[in-house]
Amino acid sequence: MNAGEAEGRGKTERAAGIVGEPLSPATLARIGAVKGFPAPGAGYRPEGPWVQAYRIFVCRGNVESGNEDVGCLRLERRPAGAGDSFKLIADQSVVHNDDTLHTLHAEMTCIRRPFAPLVEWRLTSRCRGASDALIPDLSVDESGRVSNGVVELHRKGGVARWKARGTVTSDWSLFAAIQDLPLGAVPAEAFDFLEGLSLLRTSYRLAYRGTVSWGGGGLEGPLHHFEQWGHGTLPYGFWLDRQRRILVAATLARAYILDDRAEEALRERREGRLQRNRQRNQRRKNG
Amino acid sequence: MADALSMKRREFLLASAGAAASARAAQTGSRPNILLIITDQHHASALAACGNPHLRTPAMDHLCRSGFRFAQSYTTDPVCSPARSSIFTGRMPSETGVASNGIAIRAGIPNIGEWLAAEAGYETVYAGKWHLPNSYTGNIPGFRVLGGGISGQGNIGDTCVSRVCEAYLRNRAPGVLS
Repeated sequence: MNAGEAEGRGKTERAAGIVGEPLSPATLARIGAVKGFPAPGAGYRPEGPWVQAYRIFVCRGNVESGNEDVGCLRLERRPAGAGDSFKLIADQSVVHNDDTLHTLHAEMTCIRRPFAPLVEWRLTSRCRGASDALIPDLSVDESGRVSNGVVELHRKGGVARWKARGTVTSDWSLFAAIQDLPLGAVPAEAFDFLEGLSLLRTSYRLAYRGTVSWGGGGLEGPLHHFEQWGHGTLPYGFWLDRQRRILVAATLARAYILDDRAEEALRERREGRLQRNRQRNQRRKNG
Repeated sequence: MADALSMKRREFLLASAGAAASARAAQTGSRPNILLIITDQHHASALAACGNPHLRTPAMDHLCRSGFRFAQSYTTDPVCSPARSSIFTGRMPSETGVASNGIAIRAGIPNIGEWLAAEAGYETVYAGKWHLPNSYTGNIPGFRVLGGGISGQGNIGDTCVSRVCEAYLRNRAPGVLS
């Protein structure tokens, strides 16, 4: 079965018009956003160490137009020294319509248990404008920790504390957690979800939805589908290969697509836009 | 819950005039902060406060409980950018020239940001999706744009936009969000 046939059997003849279904590897292949995935590096193990880069893709709902890569997410899992903890470093860059580049850098310490519970983290958020200059009053520096079921967030203006109901994980640590689960099984309990490391959402769950066939881009074999849902955010789908790498994570119109060139492509795209802005400003200056 | 339906039209107009006057009064030191939140193409039936039994919308329900809810208000246009052009100018889309998404408001028509900045001394800031032409998105008259949204979508931009708004407020007035 070809990539375009996977999961969307019966819908693949609809090559144009509206997308009409949630994003998934099959949908992404159908609209041309995925042609293949990088092969796993030699000695890849889900428990790390590893580095993974994802393109952040958005879809406006049409097959032919308006779909684009708007950023990248780089995740790095490292050992944290003794015990069962590990370090997870997340770097996310997203380009806004006005050419503002928003970057998040987070360093998290997590425990190697189901849902990769957060122990502590540091986060910086930075914005650069259309001329690439830093916008100082949009900068954020935060740190936080989870202790005895209480989430504590230190930020300018004070300390916020929230009582958690269960294990506290985050958008990014969930990537590491899901890759570390045995395929086909998930813990039954609910977990709490610290969205963007800043907003606590409670009572989330994870389910294993089975396999979907996939045969595109030099990668054979079924993809394993997990789904996360809870109050306040739309469900996330995660599709893993047999090596337990997340190839695609998707929610509504947004998808994270495993791509070794994601960072380089964003840099090139950003440089192109900056160049265009410089030329436009020069033209205005010259009258 | 306070409800605009419970007010007579005359009372509401008087209250509105009072709000406008308070913007003027801002120049004398008693200026209120004004926060305008637009949820994109969000019908009232998709709010728990308006009777939807299946959805949880606690933050917006709180706004409904603690303020006014206009239960008989109608948009000027079902498409988002034309509707926004009316919100920001007080004119119909046929006047603003925004007949569909991706079109800028006709030059020479002042928007509420320009009015608040020029007439009432406000610092005016905009963040998030407006769905204007890209060349216009970072240069909206009357507003400093903090983050212009992403690809016309709210979904991916939510955390980015909330981050920059939060940073702006925390750096400008520490403690305001504590």
